[in-house]
Amino acid sequence: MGPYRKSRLSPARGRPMVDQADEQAIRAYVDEIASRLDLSIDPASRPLVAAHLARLWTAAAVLMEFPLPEDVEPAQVFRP
Amino acid sequence: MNLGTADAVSLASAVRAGELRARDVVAAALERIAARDRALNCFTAVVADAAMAAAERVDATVGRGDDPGPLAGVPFAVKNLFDVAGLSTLAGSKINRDRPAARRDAAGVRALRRAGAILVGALNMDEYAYGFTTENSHYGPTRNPHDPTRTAGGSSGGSAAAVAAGLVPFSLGTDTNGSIRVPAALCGVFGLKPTYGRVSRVGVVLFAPSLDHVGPLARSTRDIAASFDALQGPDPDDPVCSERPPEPCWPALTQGVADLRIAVADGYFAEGAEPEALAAVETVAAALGVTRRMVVPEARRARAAAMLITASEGANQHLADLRSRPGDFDLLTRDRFLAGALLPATFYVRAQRFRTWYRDRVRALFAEVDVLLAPTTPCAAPPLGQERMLIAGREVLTRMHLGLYTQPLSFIGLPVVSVPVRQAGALALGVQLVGAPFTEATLLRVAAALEAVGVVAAPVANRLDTPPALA
Repeated sequence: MGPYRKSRLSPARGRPMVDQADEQAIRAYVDEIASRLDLSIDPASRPLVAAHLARLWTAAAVLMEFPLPEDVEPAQVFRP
Repeated sequence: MNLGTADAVSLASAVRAGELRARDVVAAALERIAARDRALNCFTAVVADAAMAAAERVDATVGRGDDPGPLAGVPFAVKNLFDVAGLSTLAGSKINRDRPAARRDAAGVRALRRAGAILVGALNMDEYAYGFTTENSHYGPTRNPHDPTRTAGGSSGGSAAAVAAGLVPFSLGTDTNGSIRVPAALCGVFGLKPTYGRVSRVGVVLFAPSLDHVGPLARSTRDIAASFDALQGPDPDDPVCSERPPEPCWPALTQGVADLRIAVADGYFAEGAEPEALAAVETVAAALGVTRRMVVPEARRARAAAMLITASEGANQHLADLRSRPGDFDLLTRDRFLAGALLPATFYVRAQRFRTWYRDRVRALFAEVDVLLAPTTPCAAPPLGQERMLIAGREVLTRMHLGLYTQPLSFIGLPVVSVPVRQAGALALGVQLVGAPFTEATLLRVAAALEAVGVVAAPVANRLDTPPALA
């Protein structure tokens, strides 16, 4: 996905996953993915959606950099 | 007895004893709502006729010498995401107005009615529960009864404000990341977010199913205990409801705290707050003789994970409407739901895996302690409409920051009581009493002990015109 080629999941490098100044890239991501999900976003809302997504992406960076052991399973358990 | 300030237990005792008529209790509540709710905007529906009819039935039951239930004649109200037969379940939205009226009460409403309590109406909330301030563009904001220029908190703002203003003695709310505890704290009342799965969610409009909880708000510990005891228990129709039998809180309420191991939550929970929020915790700690401090590991990451799960699940719940009628959403929620819909799956899965890890670490903590103390919010109620605020010298986004201390706890379904610390001449502040799963009875013992010595209390707020002098 174009906008994120330069931003990697890389705790070792210590860089945030999203360059916070890269608003254009986030907006392009929003446009691309929203259209593929049949979500039409009002032009006035585009920057707000992008800002919210940037905050969530920052939260994701905090989460993803944690070295979770391989054997930890998701919390939900399905009972057939 | 002053019908406007008596708590639920007092009212029920008097009705059960035939000293008070339920119809007088309910009529008085309806009068208070008619007189004061316009200024506060707690209610989105008042069911006066149905309430009076229910009150007559309670009086008839008492007249026959039959048991009218432990909460007989007590008026209560519910956040408007609970199904109430005959009403549209708005969930704070405009979109849900178009849905047919609920055919059956939510399980929690049924349980309280079975206990003899009388539903008087439905309460305002943030749209689809995605907020901490009850600033609702369709129905207006709910105002804080202690200072009407300030938020009542959210998303169960109507539930907290209606209780704080003495309109009803207790109410029902829901809590996903803090939506019972935050408004309870900001309005100066008690709020219980029970253990995840302790109270049935049947008939509740869900927000983030992994994190949604049902719980009561009230102005006394014994009212929280009485209402929770009526609510708790298995429900085979709720897929996440625990099969554990109910464990009543009422019997041990006044047992005291001598045998309990209590500590102040340090680290994350002791940083990033205004001084008065931390001082409230120290006040509670001092009253309990607590000097021990413990760190909850990775609480910051827990909050991040909770945000991602909430955003993903919330967006999915509303995806069809986001596609077909985005313009009908509240602007304060729509763009956040849209952002949540765009998150990569790997974030969501990682958040659920981290949840397992974090639950296990915190479970180990609770082998060494029974109750942890933490602030409920980092500050007192901010002014309505305030986008940013200064907390501990740092500028933050007001609304999302209110959940700073609540989110890491609801993330793993721990039971929490928010207790209102008495603040003469200052805005209300809450302290969270946090326990291991299914230890609500222990938490309420602590709350009761604090109440008995006057450290926590929820007198009715009636200063609608005069903001309190700040200390």
